[in-house]
Amino acid sequence: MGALLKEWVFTTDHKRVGILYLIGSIAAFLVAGLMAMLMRLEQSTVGLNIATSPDDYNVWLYFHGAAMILGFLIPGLTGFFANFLIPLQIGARDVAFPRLNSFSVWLFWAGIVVALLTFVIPDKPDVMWTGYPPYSVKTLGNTAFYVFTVHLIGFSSILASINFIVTIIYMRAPGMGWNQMNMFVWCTFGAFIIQLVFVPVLAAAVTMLLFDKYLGTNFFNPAQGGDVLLYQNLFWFYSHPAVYVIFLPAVGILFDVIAAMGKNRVFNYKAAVYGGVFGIVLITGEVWVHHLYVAGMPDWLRIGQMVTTLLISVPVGLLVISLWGSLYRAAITFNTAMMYAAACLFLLLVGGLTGIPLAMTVLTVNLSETAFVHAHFHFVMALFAAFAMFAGVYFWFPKMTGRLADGPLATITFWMNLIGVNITFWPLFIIGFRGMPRRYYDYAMFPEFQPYHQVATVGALITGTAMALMVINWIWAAAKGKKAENGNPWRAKSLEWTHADCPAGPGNFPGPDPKLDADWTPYNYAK
Amino acid sequence: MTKTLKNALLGFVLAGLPGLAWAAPAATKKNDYAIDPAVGWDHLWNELLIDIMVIGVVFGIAAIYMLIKYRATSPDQVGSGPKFSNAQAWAWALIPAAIFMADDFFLSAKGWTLWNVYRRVPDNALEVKLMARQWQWEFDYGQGVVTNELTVPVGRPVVLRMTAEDVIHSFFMPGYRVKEDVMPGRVTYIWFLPNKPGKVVALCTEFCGTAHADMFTDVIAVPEAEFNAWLASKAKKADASPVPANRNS
Amino acid sequence: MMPMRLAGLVLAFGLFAGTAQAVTNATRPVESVIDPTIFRIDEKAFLGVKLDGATRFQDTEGREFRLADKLGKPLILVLAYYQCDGTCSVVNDDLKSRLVKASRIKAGRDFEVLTASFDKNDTPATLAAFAKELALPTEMAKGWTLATFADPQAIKPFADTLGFKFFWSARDRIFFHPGVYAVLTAEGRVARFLYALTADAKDIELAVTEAEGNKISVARAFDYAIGLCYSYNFQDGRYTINLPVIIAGASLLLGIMSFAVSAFIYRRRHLREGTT
Repeated sequence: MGALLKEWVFTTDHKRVGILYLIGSIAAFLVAGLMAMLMRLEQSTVGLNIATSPDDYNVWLYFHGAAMILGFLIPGLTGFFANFLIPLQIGARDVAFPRLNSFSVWLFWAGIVVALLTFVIPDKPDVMWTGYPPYSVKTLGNTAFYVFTVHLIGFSSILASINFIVTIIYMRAPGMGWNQMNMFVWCTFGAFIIQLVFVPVLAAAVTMLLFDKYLGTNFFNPAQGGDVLLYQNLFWFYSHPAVYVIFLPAVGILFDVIAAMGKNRVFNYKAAVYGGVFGIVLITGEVWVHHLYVAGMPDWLRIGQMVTTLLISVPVGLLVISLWGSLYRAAITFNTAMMYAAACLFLLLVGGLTGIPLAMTVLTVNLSETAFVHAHFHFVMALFAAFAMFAGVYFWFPKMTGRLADGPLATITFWMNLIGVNITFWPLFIIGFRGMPRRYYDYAMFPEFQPYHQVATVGALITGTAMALMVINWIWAAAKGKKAENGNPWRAKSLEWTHADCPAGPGNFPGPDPKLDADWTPYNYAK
Repeated sequence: MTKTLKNALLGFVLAGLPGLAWAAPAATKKNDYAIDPAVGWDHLWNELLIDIMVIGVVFGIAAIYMLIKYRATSPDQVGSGPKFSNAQAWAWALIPAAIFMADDFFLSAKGWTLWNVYRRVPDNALEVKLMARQWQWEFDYGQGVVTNELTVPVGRPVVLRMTAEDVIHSFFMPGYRVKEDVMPGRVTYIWFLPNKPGKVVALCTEFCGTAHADMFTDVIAVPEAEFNAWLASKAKKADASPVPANRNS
Repeated sequence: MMPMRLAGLVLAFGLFAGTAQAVTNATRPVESVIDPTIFRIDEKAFLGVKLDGATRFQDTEGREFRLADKLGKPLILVLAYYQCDGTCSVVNDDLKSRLVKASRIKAGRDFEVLTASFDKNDTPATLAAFAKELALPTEMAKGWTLATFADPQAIKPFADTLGFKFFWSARDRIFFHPGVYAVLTAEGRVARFLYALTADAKDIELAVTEAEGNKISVARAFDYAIGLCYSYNFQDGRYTINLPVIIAGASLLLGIMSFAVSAFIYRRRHLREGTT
């Protein structure tokens, strides 16, 4: 047992590092999910319900947002999936810097621990995941814990970005050209470029916040020459691109699952890669002001970034057309992974299209900071990205454990999840449009919204139950699930299925190094 | 550059043009909407709703249709998705991109037009100073009249010149479809047109601490004569006691 | 409050009589002791207010004009009076010398200046005398109007909207008032208050750029870029370098550079392994 523990703690195997990321991010997901349940219960009627003071609610909200984004979505997608899959999919035996990789997973774990300390320290942080000054500087809460969480996880993801970009550029199997890579590899490549460029800016911003609060500097203090809005600009300069750090790998997973389960080639691969992925990477740095549409920025900036924000629909549209096109004349077999992937298409439509009014400066004047926004970004990030992750976990489960996680419980929890999230978030669109603000523990000014909140709470409870059962199912399946009969239960053509065992062993490929023909692609089902 | 590529690029430009042509008049027309920004907002929202619902329904039905239609009939069946020539690939990238861009430019122009209405304060607007602090709104009408609710005359535009004492707040009136952040060290403004007597709620929409959710107040629109009488009586009272009681500095 | 800011506030006291070049007469000692902070404009309450565009003035030629006639581009508004012993023109004199140094903006082209007297006893004659003494350079004079209020009753309400306090000291026979000028936007809203002797040419340039606000032009794009690197410091009453912008800009390079270094290390290691 001790030896096993030591083996895992000091592992440099990218698959084990990936699984460590997965365990950490699921832990963050479960605790943050619990916070979501508490908040939905709090909002089920007007007035204080289960919280003893509004501050309780604010702490839950802070933890929910920070842990879901920094602890679950980003590490889950760029930590677990990237680690586990990229070397396997490009035919490498490990990453470029294995020890750096193991260091970055433990940095991430340290970040999770610091985030979880929220619940035991006095003066819990309550600055929301955005941490806007002057509130975050003036509050009695321990903003430092927020800053350290961002530092640790941010540093971890910079190291991961460097590692994977080098890996993808230099370590592809002989014969694998740029246009023969899996869509997941391309999408993650884009995400890592974004991380590498933008994370340091966030780190700098929160560091200045820390100095302002604890060392008495005045970086963001308007009375002494600081600019009160600059933090928001810097924060969103990273944090809007962060949405694509989550979105891109999720789309990559969808492409790989849909292509493999539909036994089809990716529709217009080059347009999706060079138009879609790189279009997003190119525009993503010029759209952050749409988070500041009502923050008193100069009009030319608001209007200019409205145009760039709307233009994001072009690369996203190319990805959507390729996703939809990959279904055309496919031969689809539905397993749990494919069901989640199919659900993702609809979640993407709802999330993406409700983003269009929010891209328009003038419509945002009424909609920003309402439950409409709350529902919009939950459809994109919480539902679309999380469902894509679940699709990926079910799809590559045999590759991790040698067993299948599909089964009646997987199917039941899928339908509960899909129905639950729709019950939760559609009412929020409606009341948000009518003025219900987000981040409110109470809504005494809108008692008429109570039934909507109650429907949402019921939906959340259904979803919460389903998610918990789903994780239990994974744990059970990892130990006792049906064994995958060979290395390739889905009969896919990508390298991790054709060249590696189930579960993939040390060194990844039991045979000689993979060598690829010029006409090989991970999607050549039809020949 | 190959000929096909050139043709494809030409097609791209041509497909994008209608969008621009469509958008251009929207950008130049001055008063596309009634002077009341809230009315313009509802109008634009309805147009946009149609736009996104059409896209959503088309893509939604396409997905459902394909997910059902293209199920595998045997485990050995493989898909036969199209393999594109260069020209086809370019066309499938540029034509959709042009259509999306046309829609984007159209929406940008529409949004810009209404935005100008939102930002151009009418000259006859009533000026009220708004000061926000944790967790209270304070409206200053001048002449020493300071209140915690906003009373406004029906039919006259009202402009709020806003700033905050401590942290960032955001002043939101869903009834008038308008909000803007209120910050220390910076001044922001919004204007709106009270069009009928009655009360709407105004609330804070930038997280500002413990009582963030309790930071709401009423915006009361009353007929102009009634408003003038109200203001005069308040001013008289303020004259009697030069320092307003609820001013803490 | 910082000493620099105080300097601007206490102009009325004649404390700068020794240094101010405009002083010609022998200065009477000022006996009254008044806390200068009471003249401080409460920026929280008065930044962003809109001045009445219909307010009427009379220029040196006796022509009447409205405030709105001078708007349409940023306007620097100075309230002063023309009959004091000379120290008051410190505000105007100071502004004049700063504007000479402000090379990126030009009165008349990028903005207008309006000096108006808050003393109801000022007449075209005192105005003319003052104008002569101020002796504006010809170029600058085209964009700088010296004026009196057409209606003396309008003075007090006008100053009140601005938060500008002044009163006559019979004992000292001078006006007490802040040495301030307001930078207005093209719509006549106060964008910034600057204090004479505190603000330098750069501050005026930045304030005018800020007052231009939404109207970005290609020609002024560079000035906007400069403007982004500064933010206004209420305590010092002037613009200071916006450090976070520079720190963030530097951090933007950090990730890219660390990637370049890593790629270099990887390739070298790979080459070495290849040769052995």
